Amino acid sequence: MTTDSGQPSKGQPSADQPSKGQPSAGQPRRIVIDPVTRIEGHAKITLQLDPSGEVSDAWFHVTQFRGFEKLAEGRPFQEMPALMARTCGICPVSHLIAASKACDALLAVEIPETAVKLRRVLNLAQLLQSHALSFFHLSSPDLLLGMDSDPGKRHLFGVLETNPQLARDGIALRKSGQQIIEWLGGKRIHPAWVVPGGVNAPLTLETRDRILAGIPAAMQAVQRTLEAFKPLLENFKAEIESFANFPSLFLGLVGKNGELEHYDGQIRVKDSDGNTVLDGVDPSGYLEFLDERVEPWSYLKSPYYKPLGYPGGLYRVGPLARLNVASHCGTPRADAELAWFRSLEPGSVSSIVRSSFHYHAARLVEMIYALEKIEMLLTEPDILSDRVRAVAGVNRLEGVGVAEAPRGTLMHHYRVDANGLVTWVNMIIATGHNNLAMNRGVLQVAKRFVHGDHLEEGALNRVEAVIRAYDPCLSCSTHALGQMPLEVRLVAPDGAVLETVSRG
Amino acid sequence: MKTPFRTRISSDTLSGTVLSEDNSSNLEADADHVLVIGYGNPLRGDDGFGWQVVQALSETNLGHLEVIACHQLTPELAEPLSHAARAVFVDASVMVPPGVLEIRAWVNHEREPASMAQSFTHHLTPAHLLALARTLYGRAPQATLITVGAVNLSHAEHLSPEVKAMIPGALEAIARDVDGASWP
Repeated sequence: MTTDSGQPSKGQPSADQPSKGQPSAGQPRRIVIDPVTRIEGHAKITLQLDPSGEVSDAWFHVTQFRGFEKLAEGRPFQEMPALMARTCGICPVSHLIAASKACDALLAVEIPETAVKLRRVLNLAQLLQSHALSFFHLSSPDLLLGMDSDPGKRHLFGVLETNPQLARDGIALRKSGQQIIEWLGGKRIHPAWVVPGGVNAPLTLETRDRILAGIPAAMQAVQRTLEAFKPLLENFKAEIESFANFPSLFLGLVGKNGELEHYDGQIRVKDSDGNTVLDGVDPSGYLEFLDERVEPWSYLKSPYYKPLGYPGGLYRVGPLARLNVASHCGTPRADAELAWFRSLEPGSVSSIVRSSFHYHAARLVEMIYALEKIEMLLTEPDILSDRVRAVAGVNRLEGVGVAEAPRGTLMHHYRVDANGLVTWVNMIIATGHNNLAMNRGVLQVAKRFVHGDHLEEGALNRVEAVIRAYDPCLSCSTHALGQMPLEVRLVAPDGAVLETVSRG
Repeated sequence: MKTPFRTRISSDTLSGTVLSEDNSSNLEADADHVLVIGYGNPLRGDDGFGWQVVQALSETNLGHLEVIACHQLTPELAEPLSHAARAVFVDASVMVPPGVLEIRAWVNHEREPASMAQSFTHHLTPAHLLALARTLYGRAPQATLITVGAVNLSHAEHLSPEVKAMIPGALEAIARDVDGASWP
């Protein structure tokens, strides 16, 4: 569901055409951060300077076209989980599960309860390894060494030298999540275990015990990290104030009792004052309250909450949003840390946490929840049942599957013909939900830290860091841990390049 | 789609890696333990050379041998490396003349930490990985790098004849690393 905005608004940059020309004194100027990006790739940012050299506007561009929604057309729906898992190499399990749930709807089946639990375990393992990657590999250099630290040392190896325990824990946690995925699904990336109707093999006693044996060490690793992280927040007051710290809606799945939920449940939306705007909504009806806007400056669509219009219907998803909309986690240690999380902004109404900087804290809380929940699920009496798949043919011509990916709510929506061939696909990925919020976050950070016509390295790093707080897929695939390939260009309104700063 | 695999082949009963509570390693390296890591993309023709070599090894009866096939070298490999007495990396490269087998008896991993900033990516080199093992887990094994010059890197699941012909040579080199025995 998209709505073209028509011709580009005057003054907005295009996604593909940087401006060129000679500067004019006292005129509005534009900073273009290039190179070209894909969702999991590089970032392109344009910063508009006013005549006084202060940032007046910003655009976050995604300039690569993925095309999964089109290339899936004509395929048998049974292929969709495996096909859609290829959308991402970092969170393939999330796409596997959302796609399989959409296919479950096409089959019109209620999958066996054991299959639900096994899918939940796989989804939580995905959460664990993805959050570990984001926190330890991508963000810890900034968090541990500081935003203005020497770029030559502000990388994972710098973290190794400063805090080898943290580095070991990070590697171990990512490995732990990936191993669970491998043991359950056969391989770490693009496992084929989740299928329409359930999963294609039951859990063995050996695998269950192997997973359970690793949980205590993993839990200790997360708790060590959390205790090391908490006092560091004192060093980031400016960033906490400016990293996409603004009122917004928060959207996520919650369980039937309002608890934190990642696999099933219903949609809940809250505002920054803690008011529940929408609740108890079947996520398959997402089109009733969400729409997407296409802007000429990005191939990433901009979803928005329809009742508040565009762009006022901006909302955030992901760990921060999930902890804001849930009433509780439902596991003891995670609930204890949730109380700490909700104390991070003492003046906040209803304990809503607004600053996107606190996505980092939310990820750590979710990692604790994931480990507790995996342990709970694996000790349930029916977890080893061999009834793990419902078999049926096409019984509906339209199906929606929604689950919480590490980065936020993931929606797969398929239509098929009577033969089960896909005729139409719509996907809203987590990074897409956060598009408007990321744009506003970049603007907020840039206004605080970018001044005049010269780019300081620390400012560049903070622009990176606000993007990384959302953990979008693009930062995962930039292949530079701790450093996002960015090129920042100062360009006058008539296109002359005043300065270029690049790395990666 | 080929699945990365890990096989431990040993004439002894190895208890496996048991980490201490802080994820550091408190085991001494097995004096005879050789870890062979074959890496690359098996869907890109000769880039699957490492996979084919470790697949052949997994079907043999060489003692004290552990083999891992994977798409790329990642930080998670540092810990098992730290337990090995010797390591062998097997890969294909365009930096080696096509169809030529290059065997480097020592991989220098004494790099300055700053160099990790630009190159710590999905594509860790053997030297980076060994440095990581040394820094995080206290030791890194002596290593050999076996590289074949790629002839064909297009989309294919088979090796070119020239590269396939290098498999016996790679196996001989690994056999010498294991215990000096000739390849059966």
